[in-house]
Amino acid sequence: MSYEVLARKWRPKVFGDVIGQEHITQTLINAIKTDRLAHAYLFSGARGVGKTSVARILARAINCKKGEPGIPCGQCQPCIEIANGSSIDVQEIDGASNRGIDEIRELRENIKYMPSSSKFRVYIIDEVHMLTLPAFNALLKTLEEPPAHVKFIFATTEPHKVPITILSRCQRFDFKRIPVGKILEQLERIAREEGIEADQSALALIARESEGSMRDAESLLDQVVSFTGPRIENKDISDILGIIDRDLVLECSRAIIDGSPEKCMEIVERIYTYGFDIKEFYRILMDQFRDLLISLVVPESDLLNTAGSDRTEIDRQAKKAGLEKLHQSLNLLIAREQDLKFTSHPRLVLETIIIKLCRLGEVLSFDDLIGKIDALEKRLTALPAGELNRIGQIAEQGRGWEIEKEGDREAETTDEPLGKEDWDGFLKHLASKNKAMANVLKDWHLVDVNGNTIEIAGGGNAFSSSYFDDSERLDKFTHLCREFFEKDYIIRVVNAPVGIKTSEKPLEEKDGEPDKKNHSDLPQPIQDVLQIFQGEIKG
Amino acid sequence: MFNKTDFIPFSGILCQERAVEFLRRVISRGKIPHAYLFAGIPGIGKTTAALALTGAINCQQQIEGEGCAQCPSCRQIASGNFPDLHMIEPDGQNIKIEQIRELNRILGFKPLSGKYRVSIIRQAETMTEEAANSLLKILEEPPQNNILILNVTEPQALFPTIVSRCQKILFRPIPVQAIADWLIVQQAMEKEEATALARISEGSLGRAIRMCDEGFFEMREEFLSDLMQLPNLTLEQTLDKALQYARKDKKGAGETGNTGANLFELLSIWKSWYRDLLFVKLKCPSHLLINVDFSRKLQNISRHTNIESLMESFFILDQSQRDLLQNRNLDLLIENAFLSLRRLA
Repeated sequence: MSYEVLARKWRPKVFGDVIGQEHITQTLINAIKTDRLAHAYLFSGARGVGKTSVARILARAINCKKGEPGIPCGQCQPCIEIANGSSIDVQEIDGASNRGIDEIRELRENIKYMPSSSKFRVYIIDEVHMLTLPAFNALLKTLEEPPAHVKFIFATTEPHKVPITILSRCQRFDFKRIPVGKILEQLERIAREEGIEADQSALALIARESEGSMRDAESLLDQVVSFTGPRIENKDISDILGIIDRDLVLECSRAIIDGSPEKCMEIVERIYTYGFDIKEFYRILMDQFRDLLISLVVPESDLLNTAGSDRTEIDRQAKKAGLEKLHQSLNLLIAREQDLKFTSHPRLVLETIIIKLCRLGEVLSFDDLIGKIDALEKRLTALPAGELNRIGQIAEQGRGWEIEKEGDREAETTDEPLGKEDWDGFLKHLASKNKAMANVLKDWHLVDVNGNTIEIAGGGNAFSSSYFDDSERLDKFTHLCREFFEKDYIIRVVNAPVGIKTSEKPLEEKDGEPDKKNHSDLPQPIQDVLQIFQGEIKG
Repeated sequence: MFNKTDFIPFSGILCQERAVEFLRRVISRGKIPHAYLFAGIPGIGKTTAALALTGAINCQQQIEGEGCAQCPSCRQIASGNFPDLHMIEPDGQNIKIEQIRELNRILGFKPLSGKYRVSIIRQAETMTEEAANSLLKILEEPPQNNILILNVTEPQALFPTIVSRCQKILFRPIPVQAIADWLIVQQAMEKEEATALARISEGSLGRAIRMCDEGFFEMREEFLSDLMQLPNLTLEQTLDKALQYARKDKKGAGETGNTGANLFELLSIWKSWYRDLLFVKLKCPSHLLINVDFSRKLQNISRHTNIESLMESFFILDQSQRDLLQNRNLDLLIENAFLSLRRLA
């Protein structure tokens, strides 16, 4: 006699044994008691929640000759025959293998004969979603008004694939996933009866891993027992079942949030060499980021399955990353899921996606951004008043506004101050890069170089002095400065007071002077044009 | 299908201690479930383990969960004519419903000579939707003394309804060192070459052996030097090169009937190259590199690259590879890949 797995051995025999589906079993018992049975039932729900079991129990309950209504006795002839599959009145059909119209026609042929020994002829069609469309349609008339002695029971994991015309002729029952607590209770009962020694944490791990499916839980328990024998050691479990270690997942999400790809790559290597499914790991990683997000959004909820030290670690990571970053990470994970699903090198794709995640960098939240804009706005509107108050102190320097450009933190800073010669050299360099800007700058002069700040002041010319009001031009200028001096300078535009301007006119300005004088007889606007474009009048 | 040399006892399977130990314990306890799922990348011993399992449970003088290799059934398995071993492999691209129906029919009879009949479904992820569904009922409750073994690369690729009916056993990729040692001993390879090949095979011994036979190194050399030259080519030359590859591939397909095999390899090698560049750029430890024998070259090249464009190039190659598998227009696909890489280089 070959070994019978727990999932088969512990298949429920009466309605009372079915776990977590009271809303269905109670309804069916009452229907039997009050003799209000429908002629067709459709059971749908996830895997391993009891669809086939309930179908078999129902078939026995309505045919049992001895037991109370709704409780098959398990001893009378029909009960025994149905249980070992030899009954000619109860047929269990594999809808996925016998899916054509011919099989349904044959079924219709036989339907008219009365049951041989039981009350009803019961047809259980499992995996009914795999019937072909013609087969379904051939069934419609029979299903609507079958003979009084015929009952149909359909079971499927995918009710959406069953035509609507079939659905409307059946009473439909949706089976729920079984809560972890109830699976745990059942596992404890099985362990007790089978003489398996296991502590609760081990069984709890199995129950959690089964995702609401009793059969999964029983298969996993079976697997553990067949390795360790009747004494289950806690440490064996995740190794035997191939469950990815929680700590590894936490470590990975921490490394991603810290932005250290090399650590992540080590973790991927460990997961790969262990033989874990890369796609499974990706799914778990997504769950992890979902948990992180939830711990920030609804910290008090019981949507998280974690507890204890894991929980505090999750909270810590979530706080560090912040809402915006978690959001973006999760978005990236979802957007790239397709890439991973269809690739022929899952490992390489996973690595690249994680590198991308690590490089999301600092993300400012929208609230912070709006706060910054508000502050800036306030400063701008407050500017005239501030200037009035402090006008005495800033008579010499003038009060400017500052545009900061975030620089590369790693850039070296040389302490040598910027000399006049450097500036001239820069202007020459500029002339080769951006002629227009160089010409405008001839009208400007260098006021001060202070550490990382270059202060420049505009000349009297209306066109050239407003040139840098455009922040794009200023950015460009800053960029060119960095290119030439190989150092990050912040450019400050300073309004030189009127009186000082002419007396402190720098040298390069004087170069332009002769030209200007040559045309002193011309009207002012034309002089300006000549100066800006460095032109001369011919003819 | 499988020949005499294919039968290796559990003790002869390379570096799968965990899985093998598990199976042996189960066998010596006599509590053998009716359905197993062997999960792991191809070429690491899943089918070998399934055969060893068949031998062990049918052996008449089983020793500690291992076949004796002496009794009639062990010898029959070794010579490939054991009547109670049923092997299902993809017929063309997929495993079809007829094959599962045939299995269903065979399972209706009692095992002929042995104690157990073992049915092995290789590459179970290639089952069509219909085939997978028609397997569900027999997988849940097969007749007595039948064991079904499904071999699969990723359990995720199967229906959850199938996975839930099986006991899952993970087979791990074989460590680089073990493959390298094996290659040195069995194929008389140089140490450096063997290590590189072991890394590139990503832990699959089967793949390493196949690459060894196909002159992989010369091919990679050629592919990589073409990649190096890509940024120096003019637009016209790039297109020319791309078309040259596409044409060569079509011609090669005439002989083997397998379009895209050459291009698929090309894209795989280039992908591994970009991945390595990324790793070098991010200063990951060098034992994680795939093309270890080129580590100096990788260092040099990585200086002139930036991470963003490396990642983009990688995703472009991956997308092209997927398009290739979906029978998209070969010329367009390869042109697009070449031009994009050139732009990003």
